[in-house]
Amino acid sequence: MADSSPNTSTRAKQKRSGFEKIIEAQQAVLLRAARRLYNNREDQAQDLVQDTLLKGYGAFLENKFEEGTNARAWLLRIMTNLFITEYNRKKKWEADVDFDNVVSEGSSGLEALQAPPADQPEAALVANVMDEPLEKALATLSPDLRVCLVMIDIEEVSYDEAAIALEIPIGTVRSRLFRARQRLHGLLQEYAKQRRR
Amino acid sequence: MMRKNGETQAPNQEIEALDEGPIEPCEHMTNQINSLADGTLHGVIKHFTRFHAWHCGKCSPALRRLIALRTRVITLRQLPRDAERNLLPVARYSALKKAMDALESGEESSNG
Repeated sequence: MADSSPNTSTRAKQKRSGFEKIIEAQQAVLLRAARRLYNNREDQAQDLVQDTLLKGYGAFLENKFEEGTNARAWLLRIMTNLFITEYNRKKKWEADVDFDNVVSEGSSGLEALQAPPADQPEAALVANVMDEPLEKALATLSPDLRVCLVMIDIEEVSYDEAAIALEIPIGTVRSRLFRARQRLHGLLQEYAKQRRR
Repeated sequence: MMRKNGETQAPNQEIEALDEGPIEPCEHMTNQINSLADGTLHGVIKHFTRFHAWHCGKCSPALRRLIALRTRVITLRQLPRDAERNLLPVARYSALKKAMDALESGEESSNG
């Protein structure tokens, strides 16, 4: 039976304001993570954040979020889940590409690192950051590897939480994280060598 | 940071110049070295891994490089200095609010 009593309405308002507080507190972190997942493509990053918050609100209304627990980790989990779902959908169309070796937009890692700003549509955004080579190197990692590194090293999500979010065994999280760090290191070394020449 | 000739050097260049070579620990120690680098290894395994790395010609540089890389990656935790970049644009936020309203009405009608 419908319950439209004032109590219900107050509860709904409290829920809404509770979630709006979460949005206020977490949107910066979500935007930062989404930009990294989408290589600073602002529109896609904002889409992802919007979808994450909406999905989060749906779950919040269904009391799937335990108040007092880590809202940041919970929203990041929803976000990576959405990102991976979208990535897997695209991957189906590019099934014969080795995603661990290929880099985004089809260029080699080093080429991407060396590309002049004019060749990089996201350069204007990257230019605002302190460590441009690192941002660019991160952007050249395959999504599988990048998402592990972004979640664990940048967003401080635990291995366990990352495994749940990505729906993969924790051992796979560990090995992907290692490969991500290894590749990032290699790219940065190459870039440093090139600059010294 | 100052070079010998007094020229200033950016911290990143300093880090890049610090340690060259690949990250290639012993195959059977890869996960442990990786976890030691980010502080998620504990107990006896941590001590064993540190001991191994101390004596191993492959794991020692791998650990050093992983720690240096991670130190650098952690700097990306800083939020953009431009406050606007930390917020969803107004149009996005309004759209989100509308979608949340719609969710609420859906919720109410399903409860009813």
